[in-house]
Amino acid sequence: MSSLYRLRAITRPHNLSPHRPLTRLSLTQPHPFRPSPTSPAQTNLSPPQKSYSTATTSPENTQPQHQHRQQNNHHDQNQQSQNEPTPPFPPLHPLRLLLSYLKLLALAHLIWNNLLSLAPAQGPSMLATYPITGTWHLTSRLSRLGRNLSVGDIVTFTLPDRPSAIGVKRVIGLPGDYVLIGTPGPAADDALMLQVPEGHVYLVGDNLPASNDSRIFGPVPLGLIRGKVIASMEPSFTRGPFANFEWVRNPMKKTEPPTREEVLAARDLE
Amino acid sequence: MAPRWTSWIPKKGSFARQFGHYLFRYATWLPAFIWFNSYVAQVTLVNGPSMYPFLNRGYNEGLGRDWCLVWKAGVREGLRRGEVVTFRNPTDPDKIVVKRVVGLEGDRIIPKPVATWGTDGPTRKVLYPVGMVVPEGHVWVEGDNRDRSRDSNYYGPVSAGLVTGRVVYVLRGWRLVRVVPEVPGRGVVRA
Repeated sequence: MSSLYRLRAITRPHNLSPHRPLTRLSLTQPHPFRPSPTSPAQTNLSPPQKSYSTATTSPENTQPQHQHRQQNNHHDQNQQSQNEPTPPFPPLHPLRLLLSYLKLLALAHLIWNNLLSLAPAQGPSMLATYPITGTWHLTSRLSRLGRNLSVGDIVTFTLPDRPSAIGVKRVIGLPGDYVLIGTPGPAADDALMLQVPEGHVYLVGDNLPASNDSRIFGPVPLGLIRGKVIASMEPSFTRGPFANFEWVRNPMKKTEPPTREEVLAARDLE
Repeated sequence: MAPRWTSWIPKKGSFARQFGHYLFRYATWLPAFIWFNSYVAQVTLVNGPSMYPFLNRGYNEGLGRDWCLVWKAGVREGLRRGEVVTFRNPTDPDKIVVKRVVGLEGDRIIPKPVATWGTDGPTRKVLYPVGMVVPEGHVWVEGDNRDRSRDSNYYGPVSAGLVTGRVVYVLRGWRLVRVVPEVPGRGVVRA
């Protein structure tokens, strides 16, 4: 039966049929002088093609070439090449893969510096709020350079006197606010007020006795602000990566200035 | 014979589909260019006369501004006196300022008088103590044009963390000039 088929193929070309329109010769059709393309031994005899991918096996190698030619064919003849898988995306050309990887790295670095970052912090300066070690802060970098800051936010910033170090403190004064320079309390020597200069913020740690902050190095320029801490967690091997996860709440509430009646009532009480 | 990796580019398809494909391919380069501009090097224009005559030499003659190449990688560690640096304005973090580093940390500075508002009207005053020491981690920057420059004489020493880049090449006309640190001969006593 197969020999009869081959005889017919010799005498009459397979694409000159009254039932099918005249099309270009397809290499996937069985041809008496060309072995079947799906056999593994055929790869050496296929027309030379430049193949850049090294990670694919030979039967797959021949399929996309036929698929490429199939696209030029306006008539889908061959059932076996319609269900072939398309090559994987992204492309497997090694140089292009490296380039795609580098582009992804650049995007990741941009996201880390401009959108969201996660880093550990240690030190006793925020002790009532955060322990000395083990806390990881999720920082929103949308608040870098002092955008969208309000009093009471916890921010990360580059230390003004040590640019290689990063600190975590709370915002006490925005530009134009009046802040106490020293430590609040009965000591009267450093009871001075300062108006925070334009473009600067006053940062103070929660643990006042053990905090190196704006009371020591002065107001911090907004250009050094890296971001606002929006969440914290204490990951550990026993309790998991999100142990003690909590969103940071700003404890300050906006208050309205007292009305005239409240001021008069307060005066009457004295 | 087309290489294997091109077979996923739509060869036949609507114009919108092909346009969308190429747009996506070229748009994936955008983060790479933005990253390069932010962290490696950037070509930028310089505004203003504060570094005259080093930059914007034609400030009084026309509208042309100087192009310069700003190197951004590894700038904060190797600051030297006389370098032209870019940094964020301490009074407005969204603005980038170009000035020359005159004093490093520990140097004693003789500040220049700046135009301020005195009790009777505009005066020129020295805002910082003569002979002040530049604090640790800070630099003293000044513009070459002493009268038209708002620099450390006005807002004090600048934290080195604000420095974003270093000007390495300036395009003057058709010549590319490499910027060499030149320390102006003025009142700086080195540490």
